[in-house]
This record gives sequence, structure tokens and C-alpha cells, in this order.
Amino acid sequence: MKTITLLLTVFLCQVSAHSIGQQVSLQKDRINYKQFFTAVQQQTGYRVVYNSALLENTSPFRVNLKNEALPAALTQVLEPQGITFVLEGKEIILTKLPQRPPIEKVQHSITGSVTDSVGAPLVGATIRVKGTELITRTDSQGRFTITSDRSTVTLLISMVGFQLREVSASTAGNNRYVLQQFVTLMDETVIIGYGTRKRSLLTGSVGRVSELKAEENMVSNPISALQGRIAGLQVQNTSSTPGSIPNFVVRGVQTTQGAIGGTGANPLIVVDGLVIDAIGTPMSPTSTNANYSLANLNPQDIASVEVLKDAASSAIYGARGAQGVILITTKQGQLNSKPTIALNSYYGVTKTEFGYRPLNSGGYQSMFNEARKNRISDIERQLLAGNLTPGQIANLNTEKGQLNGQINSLQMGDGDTNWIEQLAPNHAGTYNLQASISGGTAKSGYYVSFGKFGEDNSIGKGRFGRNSGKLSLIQQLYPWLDLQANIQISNSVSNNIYSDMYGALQARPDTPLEIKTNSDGSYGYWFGAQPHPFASRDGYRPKASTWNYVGNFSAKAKLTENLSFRTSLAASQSQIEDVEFFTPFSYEGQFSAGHYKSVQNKGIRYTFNNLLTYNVNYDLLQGDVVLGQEFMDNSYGTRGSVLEGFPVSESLWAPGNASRFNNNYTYLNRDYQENSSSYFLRTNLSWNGRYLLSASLRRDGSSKLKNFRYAWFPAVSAGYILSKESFVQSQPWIDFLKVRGSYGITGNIRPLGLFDVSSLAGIQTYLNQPALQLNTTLGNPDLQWERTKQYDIGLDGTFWKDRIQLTAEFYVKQTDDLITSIQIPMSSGGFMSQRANLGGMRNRGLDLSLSVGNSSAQQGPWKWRVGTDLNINRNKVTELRDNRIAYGGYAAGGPMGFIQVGRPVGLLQLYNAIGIDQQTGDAIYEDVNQDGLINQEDMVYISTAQPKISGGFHGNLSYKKLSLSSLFVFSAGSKIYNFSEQEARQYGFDDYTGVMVNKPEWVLDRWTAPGSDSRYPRAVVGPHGAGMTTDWNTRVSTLYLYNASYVRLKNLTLAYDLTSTKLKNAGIGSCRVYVAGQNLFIIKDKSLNSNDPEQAMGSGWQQAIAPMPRVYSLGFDITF
Amino acid sequence: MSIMKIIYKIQYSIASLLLVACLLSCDKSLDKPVPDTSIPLEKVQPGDLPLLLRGAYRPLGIYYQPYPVWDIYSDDITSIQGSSPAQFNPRSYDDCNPNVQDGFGNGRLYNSAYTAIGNANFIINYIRTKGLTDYNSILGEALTIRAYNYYRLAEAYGGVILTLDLETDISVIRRDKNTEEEVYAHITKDLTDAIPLLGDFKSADNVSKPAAQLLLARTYLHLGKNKEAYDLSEEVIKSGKNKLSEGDFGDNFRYASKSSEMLWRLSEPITGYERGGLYTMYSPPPPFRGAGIGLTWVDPTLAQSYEPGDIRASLLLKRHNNTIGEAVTYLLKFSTDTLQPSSNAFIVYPIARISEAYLISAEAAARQGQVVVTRYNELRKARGSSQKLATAFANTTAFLAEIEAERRRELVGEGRRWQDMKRFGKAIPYLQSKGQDATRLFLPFNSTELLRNIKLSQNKGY
Repeated sequence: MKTITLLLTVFLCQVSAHSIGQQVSLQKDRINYKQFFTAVQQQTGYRVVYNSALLENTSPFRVNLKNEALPAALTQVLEPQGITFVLEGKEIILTKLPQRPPIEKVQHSITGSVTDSVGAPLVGATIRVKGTELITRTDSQGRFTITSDRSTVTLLISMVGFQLREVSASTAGNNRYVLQQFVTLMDETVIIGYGTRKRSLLTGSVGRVSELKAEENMVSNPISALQGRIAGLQVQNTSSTPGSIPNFVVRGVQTTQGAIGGTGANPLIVVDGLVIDAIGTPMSPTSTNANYSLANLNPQDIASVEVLKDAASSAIYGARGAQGVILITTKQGQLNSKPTIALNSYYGVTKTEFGYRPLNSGGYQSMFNEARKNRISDIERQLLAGNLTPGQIANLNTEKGQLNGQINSLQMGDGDTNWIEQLAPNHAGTYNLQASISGGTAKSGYYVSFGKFGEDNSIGKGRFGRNSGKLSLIQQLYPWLDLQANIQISNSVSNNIYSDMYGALQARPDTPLEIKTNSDGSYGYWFGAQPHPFASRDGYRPKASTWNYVGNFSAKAKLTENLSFRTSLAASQSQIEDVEFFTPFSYEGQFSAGHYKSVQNKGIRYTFNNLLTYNVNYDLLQGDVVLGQEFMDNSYGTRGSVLEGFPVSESLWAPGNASRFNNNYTYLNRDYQENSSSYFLRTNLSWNGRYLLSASLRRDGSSKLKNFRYAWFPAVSAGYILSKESFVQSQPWIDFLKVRGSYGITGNIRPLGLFDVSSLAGIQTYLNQPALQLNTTLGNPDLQWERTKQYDIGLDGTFWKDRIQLTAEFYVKQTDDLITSIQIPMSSGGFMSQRANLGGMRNRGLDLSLSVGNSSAQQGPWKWRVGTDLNINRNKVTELRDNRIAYGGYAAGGPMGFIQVGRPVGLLQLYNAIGIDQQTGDAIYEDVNQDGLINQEDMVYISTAQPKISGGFHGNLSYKKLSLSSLFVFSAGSKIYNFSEQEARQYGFDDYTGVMVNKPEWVLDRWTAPGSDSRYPRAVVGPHGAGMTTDWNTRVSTLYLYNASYVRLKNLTLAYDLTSTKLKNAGIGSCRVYVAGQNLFIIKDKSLNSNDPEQAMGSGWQQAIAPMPRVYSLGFDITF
Repeated sequence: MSIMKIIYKIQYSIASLLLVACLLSCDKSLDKPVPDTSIPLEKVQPGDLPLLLRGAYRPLGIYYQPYPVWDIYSDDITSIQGSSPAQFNPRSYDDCNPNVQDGFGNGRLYNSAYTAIGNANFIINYIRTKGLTDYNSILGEALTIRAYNYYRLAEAYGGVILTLDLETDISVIRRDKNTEEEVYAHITKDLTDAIPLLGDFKSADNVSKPAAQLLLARTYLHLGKNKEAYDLSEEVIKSGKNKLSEGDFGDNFRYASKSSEMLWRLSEPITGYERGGLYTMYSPPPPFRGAGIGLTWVDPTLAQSYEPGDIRASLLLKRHNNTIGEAVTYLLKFSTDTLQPSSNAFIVYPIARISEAYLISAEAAARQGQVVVTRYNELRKARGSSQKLATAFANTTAFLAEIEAERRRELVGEGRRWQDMKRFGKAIPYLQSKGQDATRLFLPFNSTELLRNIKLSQNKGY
């Protein structure tokens, strides 16, 4: 079946080149001009302006217009009355048809032609000689002839949907004019699932970004480029490591479970029809591998990104759309376009600004001693107080002796190094190069591009790089058959990336710069078993290379006038090779003479779909009905091994020089498959261009389910374009106004593992033999699709000739059969969880896009627009099997994450610190249950993870050829737990190195004596505090919890347009140069020492982070 | 035009064919994905039982965290990893719990025991419900595995939940614990059932009859059933296949050991760069090539109690510790894995050694009022220590004190000490010297488990 389909797909094809223009449909036997103009205005939005004397004495007439273009319709109706018209902006101005001048002077015949920006002739454009009543229209080839008494005239060229142009024309010139489309926000074409729709006719909620300019998005992946640009899409960077993909959610987290091995709350992603429902860690052996790496997608190849936010718009992907859908459309070849070569590039300097340093040698020693002396004083006080058994006295004396021993044994070396500075490379850069060629004839079009991006790690070593190429072709094979093909090949490489913030922060400051080596050349230790930061860096040589081969092929056949069939196959193959090499000298490799671990991951993901589309076209009822079928399959396998026994000679550290395999890594060899099958029906209808209705129904089945494999997902939405009503039209300040609402059910299957329906015994090895062990997950054959009900009410409007553009949407999303884990106690015999549809979650909120600027019709040199895209969201868990369950990632010793009924997703379990005991310097915790003890029962659950409001502010200002653009991103209302701060205040010997690790200089801010004014407790080792435990002052508590709100200037670009006639003569169509800066500053909670509240893990904690690096760049943008 | 019509017609049939084909084939594809490395439990065949048994033996990952819990908890071993020596309950290496009382390998001890129990339950019930008679040995081994792991739990927590079947109903799974007596009764029953099903000793990697007998003897001794303990320990000694080794004491703890002292052990593979486990924990710091940090050592009193010539003392190493400025004695009992190739190395966890049978025999006899030095002397002879006469001991109390000391010397690092301290009345005074009380005889249930099972009541004092 698939082979036939493939052949067929390659065989058939289409792209729609639609002419922009307003159409009029009206059938009336008797109508007067006033009624006619009202109808025109309602259907097209064009206001008719005329002197009432003009239409005096006209009689009612018969009209029969069916989808007639506006100019043609007007001509047909007006010419019999001797009236003609001119289109200016959104107004139709009526004038008398000029009489032929009675006396002919010297007459000059001026001919010319008018096309749109892609070279297609414009039919019916109005040509008027400025200052006269001379007027004509272009013919079916877009040509015109006008006679004037002068040989050079100024012409005003206008056409519905295009910007007015004032040009000079002469009898001698070739007089070819191009009109630019007059696009207001509401005219833009928006891509929806399996189709397109004009924004003004949308009933769903769709956010859109049309082009990602390289200089305004100096990031390695398209998701990071969307931060702050779409209301309701929340993007959060969790790491500054080059090539890392941020967390992103649409309208709040709508699931409690991450995909196994990855973040599960991200929306569905569809790239040119390829359905990608996981952004897993590709190399994780249990990951639901995407077979598609987002970091491989060149942001400059993207034509538009649409974010489908409500149930109605994501309905067509409804079964997987509960968390929203991001539709990414890459650039395609266009018919009828002249060849254009575009080249753009920038180079930038990258630097991480920490704003603090680790303790210096003196600071380290004094903190080491202070912590121990504080304990010794405590011991002495206890001994003095008496009332101790002889055993206790002996113990205290032993401890005191050992503490003094520790103080006396600490000998600081001569070195005093800031290891953070040492590990930052001298020169780190970010660069981008993009070259593309596009063009097309009347029957075919092409787009070819090549992109190269590189970003150096700004702490540690290594770089992320990407090379990508894309080819897009369209071919009109027959008038009824279009073919289209897209192929993208890309390779991204994380080469030698290592950013050991721990190593830099924890290395003793007196560690010599030189690496200590053992007699055999392997790395040794200067202090305890603390690795030398350079040795850790040099001994580890990772490399991950990801190839993505993405193709999609589609054919569209027009079966009858209104019926078309489209088939498409979109597939991606990924090939990942992930290598970790610890050299024979490294700490990790010295016992095995090197450790070379390589894992290959290969797989194919494809989406095959067939659509039958019927265009509805009855009288005032317009729209379409789509019947579709889709099959999705994702399969992949991993192969891996570990090699050891390398020669010590560095030139022989290639895998072929190893002498043996390690037996413990057979588990790296795995195979996975998942698929799903769907059918759907959708209709988008409009009545009289004013009342809008959409409905869809989808049935989905997934291989992950057993007893309840299939589910139905319906959605319905409606809109009402108020600005077409006369009572609104009487308000001249309203350009466009629409209200809309939607309701639907969307689904989610991603939280499920591939076989959560079954109880399994999984393979293990024991004593080099295979063994079976029961899995820790208990199967549940009754699992079902997670189904989310969603309501949406929205308003779109533009006012005062686009000066104000507003979209506001209120939504409620409720999931009642949330896939959660029933947490099973280990006493069941080793089971830990069972997946079940138990739980509920609600997100309520508001998406707001508002911008203010000059009118889109304005011609002056100054242009400006400022605005915001923001989301206000309230998340609440409404039901769980148990009141509280664990949630999110967790690091040893840090706070645990939870979810709880009635609270937002992502709580941290902490002791509530109510201050520092001014006498002892130890932390005081709230005794919540007032039983006189501070223990686990007293821990509180603090909502940390969900911001209440997030988004971006943008501002653009240009004067003539100079432009300035800025983007601020912000988030407010979440909290961040600084685990590094907690850890740094422990002064005992580290579990892994046996030395007291160095600390950031933050720890100098502490209680030192009664009356010292500090947020933080004293430095101490041993039992202390009211509970006399060793960890009292460094328990997970609100002491280390901060406000995570921030505003970051993400981008600032200053550009100058050098385009001139001179350059044009030299063959350069346009040229733009710019300077741009990224992550220039951040405003955040002052008391948070780590400098970047955005990078949160799990339910809102961070540890040893490097802030997002600052980039300053210089670049150009040229087309030929 | 007519050609177009034909094409249209073909188009229609192709499109309809395609859609029909999809309708038929795509839904069927949903059955295609199958797991590659696991089998559904309902499809398990009797032939899979040896695989499942091996899975039940297999220690749950990072076993070297729970294994030494009781050595460090007791007076045998001092560890100041991340903490200070006076701290009764050092900060955990198993930091995976937010509360200090949860640390210290506690969670992993609990989890690994129940994982083994769950796997053993499946095997036991599979064989019993299907009435498979050809699998007696596997049944006996599974019963012993279950009993041993319940013993670990009872030793750590007192009463725990007794789970004896594959339980899937969460409302049944969530319940409060059984009493300590019930748990010990079940341990005794499982071992009693297992012994006649088991064969002679073949390898320390599998449970044999003497191994199960020794575990039962250990249980009886703890329960004060000294006669039964004595009889069983004697049976073990007389079973004949296992002998005390007299030469290289360290060989007993090596993966490729030639001696027959080990009755049952668990092994865990270690990857080359994590070359660690118990060796790393107990070894001196660099430049000693143990990849350890040197903050865990043997009680000085115990270290000094070995007679000159005692082969067991060869596994002790006295070194100056720079961190605390004192000389301490490190335990190298588990250092043997350095002799293995890094590509296929195992750490050995002793569960039962024949020498314990000699000590149980002597102690059980003493507790019944007799000073019988035979077995005691046999062990000391093998270890290179002096022989003693029964008359050297004034009474059974004095002999018991000597047996306790001998047990420390023989079994240090093998996880037996805390149970011994309880039996010899040393545990509570020890706790008191740390400012603690009898509630600390047991560990707390970790917070994760309490969260998962709201009906489980926490141990007293936590």
C-alpha cells in the first residue's frame, strides 16, 4: 500500500497561487445604487465615496454578480450611468466618466503594464493622470494605454488590495510598474491544519510569526526565536549550552507527565505536514524519539510559524493537539517570480557574564575554619553545660579533636585562581550565513538555500554548528495537476561541548594551573579526589552529530470545479551518532585505558495523508468541506557499544585502536515503534462574508492503547464580523472588528510509554547471562486518550486605519481524564507506578496582542510600532487519584517537586524559613503542625513553576533608511530555587571528592555574630540548629527561594538600508547592514545570586547555571 | 475533453482505491509495534523461569549504597563522608531523599529488597498455581530469595508489609505494615519450605540447601531459638562441600574466587570508570588507586584486636589521613575487583559465608549454657589465630563476649554488625552515647514510600 502511495505522491502535486482581490456576489432584480454600495461595503470593506449629485435621477436596476472581482463589478454597474471610479486606500471614489475632449491638441499615447510583486499581470488596475480626469484600466494582460497632451505625465495607479503608487511615465519609457500588496493584519493569509484561511475569516485562535530575521534571532533553533513573539506561547530557556532546545508550552502546561525522557508539555509540532509529537532526548534509551531534531531546522528557511491555540484551530490535529500545535512552514518555490539571490550573514562575539567569582584562597581558608570553629565552640558550650553521659562526653571530645585536626591539616597552596575565568574561552563567537536562490516561471518555481550557523560555547569548550540545505520545487504538470516537493538535508554537530560549571565553582582556589599527573601519565589530584578543572575538560571529548533528511511530496488534483484531492507524504529520517570519549589519562578512563562510548540512533518518521476538499459556493454561502485520512508512524533503533583498552599515544585514540568491548552496554541496542491512524472531516463556512462557522470531527487510534484504542475529537467554532454591519460602519474609527468563539475536544497520547497497557518482564543481564525482571510499571489495558475540553472567546480588531491592532482571547482548557501515574508503593513487590486516566487540570487565561503605531497607509519618513504579545494564565490541578503526587525532575539533595489538587502544576516541598536566630545564627523553621518538632510534616508546598504572566514587548522605529528594533521578553509570577546557594553553604567534606569544595563569594553574606544583618545562617559543620542535625542550615527551605520574574532585553538591532540606484546599476537589488545585540541585560530579583532566573529545571530549581550569553554582532543582508 | 474525463475517472478510482486501502490497512498497523526487550507477563512460559530466577537474584542497581548501611550504622565503621563522625546518621550518599533521616542508602535498601521479593513472588506463584513439579529447585531458590529479602527488611524496619503475590489492586496494595513477628514467621516458613526443595552446593551464585539452612540458622539465632539455630548450623558445616579457606583470606571476596567459603553472594557489574562500589567507599584517598575519597574507616578498637598472624588483618591498611590529621585503618576486603578486566568486572556482595555457621554453632551452644570451643577454634585456626581452651572462659557470658569480638573480626563490612549489637545488648547503650534512644534501632520508612502509601505508619520516633 505504502509503495503505491509513494509512487502516486511523487506523481501528483499542487500549489495554489491565489490572486488577491475582493470579490462581490449579489443577485437582485431591483436594487438602487445606495443599496448596492452598502452591499459592496459589507462584502469587501470598501467604502464608496461620492457626491450625491452624481447619482441624482438614476433608476433602480437589476444586478447579477457571482464572485465578480470588485473593479469588474463596479465597472459593470456604473458605466451605463456614465460614472467611473478610483480606488484610494479603502475608499472607492466615484467620478463622472470623462467625455472625450472636444478639441484634440497634440496627443501622446503612453503605454505600460502593471504587475504584482511576483510578476503576475494585474487586471483592472486604475490608471489616472494626476491633476486631470484622464482615467483608464489595465486589460487582461495587465496593459494600459492612455492619451495625454503631454509626453511625460504623473500617473496614479491603484487597485483593490494593493498600495497606491504615484509614478512618472513617458511615451519613451517602458513603463512597467509593480504594485505592492496592501496587506493589513486582517488580510494576511494564515496557515491552518491542512489548508489556509484569511485572518479576517478565522474563527479559531492562531498566532503567527511570518519571518525570523537572522539578526533579530541569534539563536540555534526556531523555538528560541519565537520567545516573546506570540501571545500564549511561553518559551523558557533551561540551559545556555549551545544547541539546547528550550521548554515551550502553549497556554500553560496541560499534562502532568513528561514524555519519557523528554519534556512532555510542549505542543505538537508539524513541519510542512510532518507530524512530530515528541521533543524527546533523542539518545535516551527510553525516549519517544522524534526522529527529527528541531536544532537542525534552519530558522531562516522558515516562511511562517503558526501557533494553533484553541480547540477549533487545532481540531484537525485534535487528537494530539491538546497542548496546542505549532505549524512550521518552510520557504517554497513560487510561480511567476523573477530569480533572486539573497545573501545574509552576521558575525558576533559571545560572552557569558557571571557577575561574581568563587572565593579566593584566603576566603576559602577562613570559611573552612569558621565553620569548624563554630562547631568547636558549640561542643565546648555543651561540655560546660554538663549533664552528659561519659559516652557522650567521649564522643564530643573525639569530634572536637578531629575538627581541630582538620583545621590544622588544611594547608593552602600558593595558587589563587578564579576558575570560572580560567574556563571561559578567550574568543567565543556566533555566526550565521544564509544564501538562497528563488524564482519561477508560469508553470514551475524553485527555492534553494544553504545555511551555516555556528556558536561557540562561552564557558568550558566546544561549539555547536549546523549546515543545512533546502530545495523546494513546484510544478504545474497540467492545469488540473500540481506537484510539489521539498527536500531538506541538515547536519548539526555538538562538537566537544563541555561546560563544567561545577568544576569551575568547586575547584579549590589554590589548585595549581598545571594538571597533576601520575607516573603513568594519567591525571592525578592535588587535593583529595578533586578533579583538576583542566583535566576534566581535556580528558572528556564528546561529539554528537545529527543528520536530518526531511522530504515531503504532495500532489493536488482538481477533480471537478469544486472538488480536489490532495495526497502527501512527509517523512524525516534522522541519524544520530553520539560519542563520548574519556581518554586513557582521564579520571574516568584511566582504569579502563580509555572509554569510548558510541550510540547510533536511526529511524524514520512519516505522515501520510489524503484529503478530499469540496469548495462550497452557493450564493452567499462560501467555504469548504474537507474529508481526510492520516497515518503516522515513527520507528527507530539505537545501536551502541563501549570500547576500552586504548594505547596511551594520543595519535591512536580513534575507536579502531581499542582492544576490547565492555560487556555492560548491550542495553544500548534497542528498537521502538509507534503509529496512529486517523480520519477526519472539517468544514469552514462563511455566510455573506460576515457569519463564520467551522466544525470538525476526528477519529484517532493509537498503537499505544489496547482496550480503548480509538476516540472521537469534535470541535466547533463561529465568528461574526461586526465591522460589516452598518451600525459599526458608522463608526469611522473601526477598520475591522470580529468576535469569535469556539469549543472543542482535543487529545493527547504523548505521556504514555509505548507499552504502558501491559505488565511486562524486561530483559536484564546478570552474570553475563540474560535475565528477566518485572518492570516497575504495572500495565493498565484500560488506558485511554487524554481528552481536553476547551472554550475560547476572541476579539480581533484594527482601529484608526491600523494605528491600533488588537487581538484578545479568553480561554478555558479543562482536562478531566488526565493520564497520570498512580504511584504504587514499593511494598507491592517492586512496582512504582501505573498509568491511568485519573486526574484533572485546568488552564484559564487571556492572550493579548496589542500594538500601536502609525497608519499602514502613511507615507512619511518616520515609521514606528510598539506592542506586546502576552499571556496571562492560571493553572490549576482539579483532580488527582491522590491529593499530592511527585512531579518534575529532581537532583540529589535538592527540593522535590509535586503537584497537588487545587494548586498550579509544579510545587516545591520546602521548610518555611522564618529567619535566622540572632543568638545562634542558625535557621528557624516554621513548626507548621506545632508539635514542637521540625520534621517532614512541617514542610510546605510552594507554587513555583508557573508564571502568571509572560510574553514580550517589541518596539520598531525607522526613519527613512535607518531602523531600530527591539524585543524584550518577560515572565512574572514564578519562583526559582537556587540549589547552588543551598549547596554552597555546606562546609563538610564533599561526598565525591573528600575535600570541602570551593564556593561562590555569595557565602560571605552570612550570620557572623549576634546582630549581624544577613538573610543567611552562619557557617557551621556538625549537628546544629534546633533539631541538632548536620543539615539544619542547608535544608531545602524558603531561604533559598527567590522571585523568578524578569525582563530581558533579548534583542536590539540597528540597521541601515544602503539600497540605491547606484547599487542597483551594479546588480545589487537591496543591501542592508546592521549591528545587533542579544541578551544585553536582565532585570531580576536582586537577591538571586545566580544571575539568570529563566533557567529553571523541574518544578523551578536551578543549579550551577551559566547565564544566557551576551552576543554583539555585525552583519549584512543583500539581494541580487 | 474526453481524455480529461477519462483521467478524472481514473483519478477517482485511484483515490477511492487508496482511501479504501488505507481504511483497511492503517488500522491493522496499530497492532504492529511490539516491545523489543520485554514480554507481557501473561505470555511467560515455564521455559522462561530460569531467566526470571536470574532476574530475582540480580541486585537492584547501585547495591553498594544499601549494602554497607548496617556496618556504618554500627560501631564497626566510621564514615565522615559529607559529615562529621559524631553524627549518628551521616548525611546520605543516597541523597535521593530530601530529609536526612531518609538518606544513607535507606531508600535503596527498601527498594532493592521489595524488587527481589516481587520477582520471587511471581516465580513462586507461577510454579505453585500451575503445579509445576519439575521446577522444585527454582521454587526453592525463589523462596530463599524472598525470605532473605524479608529478613533484610525486618532487620531494618521491624515490621513491614508482607506481600506474597502479584498485587495489582492499589486499594489492597496500600495498607499498613505487618508486625515484626509476622514477618519473621514468614521468613521461617519460606526457608523451611525451601530447604527440602534445594540441592547441594554448586556455586555461590545460586542458593543451595546449606545456604538456605545458614539463613534459617541466622534467623533462629535472632529469634532466640538457639537449639534450632545450633542444629542447622551444624548441618551446614557437615554438608561437606564448603570449607574454611586457610590461605589467602582476600580470595574469598574476589569474583573469581577459588575457595568454597562463600555459600551465597550477589554480584554487580561495574563499568570501568565507576570502578568502585564497596572498594571505592572503603579505600584510602589518592594517590592510593582505589578511586575513593578515604573518609570511611574501621573502628580502631576492632582494628587493634587482630592477633599477629591473623590472615584477616592482611585486608586492613593503616594510613595517615590528611583531612583529619590522624592515622586511620582502611578496610580492603572488597578491593579484589582490581584483578578483573575493567570490561567485565564485578563487585561481590557476600550474603552468607560458611564461617558464620561456625560462629552460630558456638554462640547457639553458649546461649544454651555450654561453652563449646570446637567450632570457634576451627575458625580461628583457619584464620591463623591462637587456639583457646574452654576453661579460658569463666562462664558463657565471657565466651559470648569473645564470640562477639570474633564475629566483628570475621564479618566486618559484611552487614551483620547491627543485628549482632542488638543481640549482644550493645545497640541501645551505643545509641545513648550519641544522644539517641531505642527508636533508632530501626530506620524510618522513606518519605517517597510514605507518600505512595498513605496507610503505612511511620516507625516510632521519626
